[in-house]
Amino acid sequence: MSACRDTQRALDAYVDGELDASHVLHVEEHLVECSACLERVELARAMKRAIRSESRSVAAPASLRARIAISAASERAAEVEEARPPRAPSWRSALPWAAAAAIAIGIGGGVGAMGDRHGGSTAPKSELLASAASLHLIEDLAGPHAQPLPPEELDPVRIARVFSPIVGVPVRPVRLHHERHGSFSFTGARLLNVSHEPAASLTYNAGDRRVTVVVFDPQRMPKPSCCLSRRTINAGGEERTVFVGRAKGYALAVYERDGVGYAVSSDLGENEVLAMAADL
Amino acid sequence: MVLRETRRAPDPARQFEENVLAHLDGMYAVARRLTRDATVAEDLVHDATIKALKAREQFEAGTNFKAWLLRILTNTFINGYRRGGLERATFESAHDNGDPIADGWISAATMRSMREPEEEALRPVLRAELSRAVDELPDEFRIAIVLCDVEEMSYKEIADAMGTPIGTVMSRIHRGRKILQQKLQHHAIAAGLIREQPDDASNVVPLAARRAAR
Ligand SMILES: [Zn+2]
Repeated sequence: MSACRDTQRALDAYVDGELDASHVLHVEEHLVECSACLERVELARAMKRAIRSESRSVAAPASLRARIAISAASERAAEVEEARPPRAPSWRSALPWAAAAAIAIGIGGGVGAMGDRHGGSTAPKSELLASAASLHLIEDLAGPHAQPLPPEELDPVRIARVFSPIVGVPVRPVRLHHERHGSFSFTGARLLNVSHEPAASLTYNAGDRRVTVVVFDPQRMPKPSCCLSRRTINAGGEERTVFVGRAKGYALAVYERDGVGYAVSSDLGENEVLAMAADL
Repeated sequence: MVLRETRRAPDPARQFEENVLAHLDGMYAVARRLTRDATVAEDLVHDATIKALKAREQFEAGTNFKAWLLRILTNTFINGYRRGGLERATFESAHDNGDPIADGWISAATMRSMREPEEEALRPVLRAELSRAVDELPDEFRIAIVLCDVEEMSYKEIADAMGTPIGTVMSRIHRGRKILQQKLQHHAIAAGLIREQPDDASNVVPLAARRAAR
């Protein structure tokens, strides 16, 4: 009885190989004569093995390897830049475009462009494919706000230098204002995938209010036509098309400006994100 | 330019990166377990990998490289990927109430029927259930068990990764396994593998009494 208790107390350490030799001997002497404790050990081992084999049946996806390769290459490039401060910024030539192309999978043939700039040339194969792609796009664009992850970078200079070549468009933290909530402070940026393409999310907050701006290359994304409504707003004297609606429980406004795609999501209302879209 | 680079002595940063990438499958497997979500697991492994690359100067040559990587992964998970610290307080107390079944008095016959006859493996129907049960474990128990069982890290390495004393790791592994066993037992009964009722007092009779009865 007491030998059983001792064995049970040592059971985890025994099956995990953490028990020292003299105790192992002690346990094994008991296991020879006690089938109940042997049974406990066998079950613990069987469970351990099952957890291991069930868990190790997955391999890291190729897209993850590619994404890490891109980030690692840009880190190396940034380290080289920092080691040689007087050089003019030359990330366009220094960064791994070939690596960036590796994750440019796209969705089917439906990589239509947002806005009218590229309309027609890369039209989606079918309406269904287009709306499926568009639905995923919207979920991806709203995702970083709905499930925020820790930022990778805070320094605006490094963000512009490191993130821009990966995303394919300039990535810069902007000044974000709201008439009622005042000035939003920038809390950081990180890279993510939107429709299997690299994009950057910039996060802001004012008190407990959060705003996430996803910056992406609209040429690589399908048009967010489904699920969002198309509005034309006045942005500093010029007309701008904005797709606005709700996704993952948050207000979302998606638009293109000067060849850069923006998706503004917030726990504020649709009118507020629309107003921010007009300001940005 | 590229050609000349490949002929030179290997760049230490690149070499280090290759060493890290060699462990990517293992890190991803652990991350899937920790986050319970394929997409979040990718984000976690990405962040941890980049952190490891940036911290390469801090790796002490001669120490366990994989354990070092998993420590960064675990840290990144604990510090950035969990929604608040509420879970810990609730679960640690909830599972600490001395339930006799959770404390391990499952009969030898029951335990035997959970394994394949004459084999060391768990019955296939229970393997999927076990996987689910691991997912449902509180973070602290799940982290300790995953690092221990999936990656075979030592208690010391797990303690370093989780930032806790070894004793805490041991108690988390022990209690986590008891919860898993209990769930498996309930499932085995539901699946008709065993007929015994877990709450039946005859099933929790100490061993000495069972022997005397023979
Ligand atoms: Zn015994």
